[in-house]
Amino acid sequence: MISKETVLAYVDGELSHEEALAVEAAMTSDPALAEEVARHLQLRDAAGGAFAAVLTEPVPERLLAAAREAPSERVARSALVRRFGPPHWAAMAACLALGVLAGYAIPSGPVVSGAGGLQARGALARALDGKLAADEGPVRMGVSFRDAGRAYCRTFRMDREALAGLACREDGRWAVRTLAEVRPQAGGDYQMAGSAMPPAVLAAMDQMMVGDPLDRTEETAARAGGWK
Amino acid sequence: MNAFQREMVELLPRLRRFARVLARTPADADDLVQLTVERALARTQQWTVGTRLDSWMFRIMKNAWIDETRARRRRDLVFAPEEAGEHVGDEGAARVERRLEAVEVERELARLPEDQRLAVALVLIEGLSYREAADVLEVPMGTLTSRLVRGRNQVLARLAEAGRPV
Repeated sequence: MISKETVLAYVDGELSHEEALAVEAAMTSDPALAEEVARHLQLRDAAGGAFAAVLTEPVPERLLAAAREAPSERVARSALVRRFGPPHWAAMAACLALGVLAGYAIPSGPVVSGAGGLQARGALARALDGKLAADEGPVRMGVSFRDAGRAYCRTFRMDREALAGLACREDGRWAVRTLAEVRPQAGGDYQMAGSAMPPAVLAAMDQMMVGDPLDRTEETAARAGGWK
Repeated sequence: MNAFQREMVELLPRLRRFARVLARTPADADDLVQLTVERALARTQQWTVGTRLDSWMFRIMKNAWIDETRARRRRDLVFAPEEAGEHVGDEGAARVERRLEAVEVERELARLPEDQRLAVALVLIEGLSYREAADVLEVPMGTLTSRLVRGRNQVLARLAEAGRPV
């Protein structure tokens, strides 16, 4: 008895010479098996032509440009995100939908929508400018690091608003790249540890960080230098 | 442009093809390619010279797609879902039979669950070995082969239902 896996492995050329001969021997005495092999060979043949047209299409210039871009020019942003709109707005809208931002007026809030996306302002901007990791306050800093463009980035938490995010220095401002809701821990309270970042923020950090996080000395020096 | 980037540029047509298997529209597929290229450039140092760049980039693309679809699902909770129009190629009557078959296989592939779709595409369209495909998907060989069996039998069954047995 030849298993379905073996039939496919035969069709895909994954069997050894001896194993393939055994399948072929079985096919001579089992027409149903021979037919099954034939069907799968035809499927393999037809599937090989699937999406083949795209191979001969000219590659869009933006993809060529992305591949040729010098690493230092790269900005860690998602192409899909650009097309479908900034995720931070979605996160904010999600927060609104969940009532997390209830009674919290966006125009005077911690972020404002600018030409290049969301920008930190008010208490958040001041904290990003001046706070070091583990400093107390309504806005707490998590990890500071540099992205692929050598810009400084920092994760932050705003416990009252139950929001956390990631902002990077861009043209002298803090561009908010990611904003996510902080979910209450099992105890019902918000976990206060700096490491308690929502997965979305951790993932963004992981993707954008080049090198190691800044230690306290480096962070202090970066602050003194205006995060340039 | 360095050697790595030149090799990546040469891979772009195949990356676009694999992206078509994942994404529902050509525009989404190209966005996924761009994201994949950006991620690959950010992780150049993780690629081992002498190993297959295509498998490595397919894996990045697969993971990028998973991340994006998760993010998309979250966004869809808030925003109206985008139109879920199934992408079917322009099927002119003048097209040759062979092309029709490929279009039908594309359509049936699109109906497969994502895990089966990826397994089938990597082996049948991209021509990867089982070992390479399992590495791209980061699953054991047994998982890959069972996805291949289920996915391909499903495609054959649906083609037969549609009156186009192969």
